[in-house]
Amino acid sequence: MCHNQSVRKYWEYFVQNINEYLAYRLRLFLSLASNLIVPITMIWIFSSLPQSQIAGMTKLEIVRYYVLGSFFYSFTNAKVDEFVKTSIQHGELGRYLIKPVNFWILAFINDFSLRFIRLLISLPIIFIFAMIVGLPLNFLKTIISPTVAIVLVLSYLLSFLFSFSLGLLTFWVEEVWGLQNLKDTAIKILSGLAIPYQFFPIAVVALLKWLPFPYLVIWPLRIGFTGNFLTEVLIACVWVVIFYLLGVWLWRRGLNIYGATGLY
Amino acid sequence: MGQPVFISMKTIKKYLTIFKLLVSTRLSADLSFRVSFLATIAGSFCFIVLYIATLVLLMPYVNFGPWGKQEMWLFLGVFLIFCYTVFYLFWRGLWHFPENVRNGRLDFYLTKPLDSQFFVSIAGGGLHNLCAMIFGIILVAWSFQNLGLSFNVVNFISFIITLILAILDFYSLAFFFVVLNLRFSYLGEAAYEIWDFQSFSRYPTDAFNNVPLIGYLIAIPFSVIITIPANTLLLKDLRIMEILVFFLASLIFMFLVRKFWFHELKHYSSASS
Repeated sequence: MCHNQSVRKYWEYFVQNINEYLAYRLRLFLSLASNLIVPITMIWIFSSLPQSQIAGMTKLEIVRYYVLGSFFYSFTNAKVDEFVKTSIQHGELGRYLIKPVNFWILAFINDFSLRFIRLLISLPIIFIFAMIVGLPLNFLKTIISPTVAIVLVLSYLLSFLFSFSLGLLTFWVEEVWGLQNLKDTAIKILSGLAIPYQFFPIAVVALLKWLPFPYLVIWPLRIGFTGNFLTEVLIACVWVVIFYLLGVWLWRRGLNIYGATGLY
Repeated sequence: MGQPVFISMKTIKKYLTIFKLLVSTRLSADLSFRVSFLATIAGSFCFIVLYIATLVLLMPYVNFGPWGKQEMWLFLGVFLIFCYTVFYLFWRGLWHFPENVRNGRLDFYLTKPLDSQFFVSIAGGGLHNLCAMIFGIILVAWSFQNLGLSFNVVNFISFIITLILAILDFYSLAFFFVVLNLRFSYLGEAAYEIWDFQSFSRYPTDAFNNVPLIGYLIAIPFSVIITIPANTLLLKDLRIMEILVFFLASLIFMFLVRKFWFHELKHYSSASS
C-alpha cells in the first residue's frame, strides 16, 4: 500500500512535468529543431566536397551518422544539472528536503520526462530531416535491436549521473554555467557528436575508450568500436558506479553546508 | 509606443554613460565571486576549444575552396570577435527577456525614460566574454602576420564597419525571436536556440557550394555576415557594391525588427503570464 502510494506520487510528478512541457509546445519544437542546425551544417559541408569518401566514410554514412546522432542527442543527453543548480541556488531544495520525497528520484523524473517527450516529438522531426537531407527512410530499422536498447539505457544513466554530479557542485560554486559549458563542450567533441571518431587520430580514440565520453549520447552509433562490445559495457558500468559514488559523496558533503535559503 | 525609430545623436552620450555604468556593475559582480569567475572564463573558452578542435579535425579532409589553412584561422578569429561581442553586449539582456515577460518585470524596463529596446537588450557583458574576444583579436593578428599581409587603412575600416553590421544583424535576429515571447507567452530560451545558427557563420560561403535551395536561404546568410568582413581583412578584392548592399540590407533589417518590437509590445499585458 505504502509502496503504491510512493509510486503514485512520482507518477503524478511525471505526468505533471509532461503537461508542463506540452503547455509550451512552440518552445519545445524550437529547442528540438535547433539541435539539427549543427548536423545540417556538417552534412552540407561534407556534401559540398567532390570526393565520395571522407575519412573512410561514404557521404551517405556521414548523413546517417549526423541524423541519428541528433536523434540520440535529444534523448540521451541529460540536462539535470540545470534543475539541481536552480534548486540549490533558489532555495527550492529546502522545500524538497522537508517533503516525503527523494530528491534524486525527483531530479531523475524531472529530466526523464523531458527526455521522454523529446523522444516522441523528435521522431517526426527526424523523419522530415532525413527526407530533406536525402536519407533512405528505413534508416531507423538498422538500430532497432535489444543491444541498442541496453546501450541507450546505460548511456542515459551515465549521462544523468554525470550531469547530476555536476549540478551538485553548486553547493560550492555560486555559478556553475562555466562548468556546464565545459561538460557540454567535452561531450560534443569527445563523444564524437561534432565530428565522427573516424576523423580522430587513432591514438586519441584508443585513449578515449577508457573515458566516459564514448558511452554518452551516441554510443548506439558505434557499438563495438573497441572491438569488444562486452568490454565497452563493462567500462560504461564502471563509469556509472564512479559517478553514482561521486554523486552520493557530493550530496552528503553539500547538504552539510547548505543553508536551505538558497545561495543568493 | 511613441518612441523614435532611431536613437537621436544627442542622447548617445547619455546611453554611453548608462552602458559604462552597467559594465562596471557587472565587472564588480564578476570579481566578487572569484571561483565562479574562473569557472565562467573556463566556460567561455570551452566554445573556443570546440571551434578549434572541429577545425583541426576537419582541415585534413575538407577543402574550403580558396580559403587555405592560415586563412581559415583568420576566419575563425573574425568569427570569435563577432561571437563574443554579441555575447558581451547583448546576451545577458536577451537571456533574461523571456523571464522578464513571464513575471511582469518588463514593466521596469518600459517605464524608464530610456529607449526600451536599448534597455532590455544591454545588461552589461561579462569579463569572460571580453577575454574571449581579445583571444579572437590575437588569433586574427597572428594569422594576418603569418599570411604576410600588409596593413591597409581602407580595408581595415571596411572590416570594422562590416563586422559591426554583422553583430547588429545577428543581434536583431536574436531580438526578433525573443520578442516573440510577447505574442506566444513563453518561448523560454528562444535567443539561445537562435544562437545555434552561428554554426553556419563558422565557415565561409565557399564551404557551402553544393547545398539545396533551402541551404541558400538558411546557411548562406549566416555565413555571408562573417565572410564579408573576413574577405575585406584579407585584402581580397574590395567589392564596394557587396558592402553597400550588405549595409542597406542590414539597416532595413534592423529597422524592421525595431518596428516589430514596438508592434509586439501591444501584446504585453504587464500583468505577467
